[in-house]
Amino acid sequence: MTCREAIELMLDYLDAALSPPSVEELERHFAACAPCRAYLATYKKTKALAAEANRVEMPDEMKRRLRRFLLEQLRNTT
Amino acid sequence: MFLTVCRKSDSFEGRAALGSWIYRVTANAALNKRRGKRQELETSLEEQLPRFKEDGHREGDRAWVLADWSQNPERALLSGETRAVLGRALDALPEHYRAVLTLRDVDELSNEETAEILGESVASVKSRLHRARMALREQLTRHLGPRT
Repeated sequence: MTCREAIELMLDYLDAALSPPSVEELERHFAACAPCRAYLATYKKTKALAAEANRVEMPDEMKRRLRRFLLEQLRNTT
Repeated sequence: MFLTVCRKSDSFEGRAALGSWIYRVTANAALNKRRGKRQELETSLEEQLPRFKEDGHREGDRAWVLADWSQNPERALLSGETRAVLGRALDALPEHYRAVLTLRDVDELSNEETAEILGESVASVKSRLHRARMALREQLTRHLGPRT
């Protein structure tokens, strides 16, 4: 497996969407390839930082109005 | 945005889950609002993806390809400066890449939910998400990795 192939599989690897033989082959590559281990670690951290930095709390007034709107919609569709 | 959802409420026909419908209306409104305006800020995504040699190994000097800033202290990773880098990198993503990344990594929706909301295939969502993450990672590495 090349680094290009390993990096292409990272998303599916983190989503646990790879077959066991593919996981085994990928992890063998990581064990032998320091640049890909570094890439995987920073790729995972990027995902976590993007989530952390962009998460916003909905203002209370917005929550109240949204809840009211959703309840109205539910009443209209049932 | 809330008003847009209210105005569009007549178009909700009950075929999709209400949550998905609200996301779809919101995402479309946000994409429409940004369309055109952000064009000049978007840089080529290709320039921010990893480069490879003919043999499939990564291109770049050893310090660069080995750069692992993931263990840096949380305080540094969450500093205002790093957040600003991340914000600029996110803003520079093409719209549909940014939408996919936001729905998947920030709102933690599944690939399938994201595909339904954006009207794209799951394969397209996964491809865009991967490229968006790689582009952000590149910008963070330029900021947090070895100085060249």
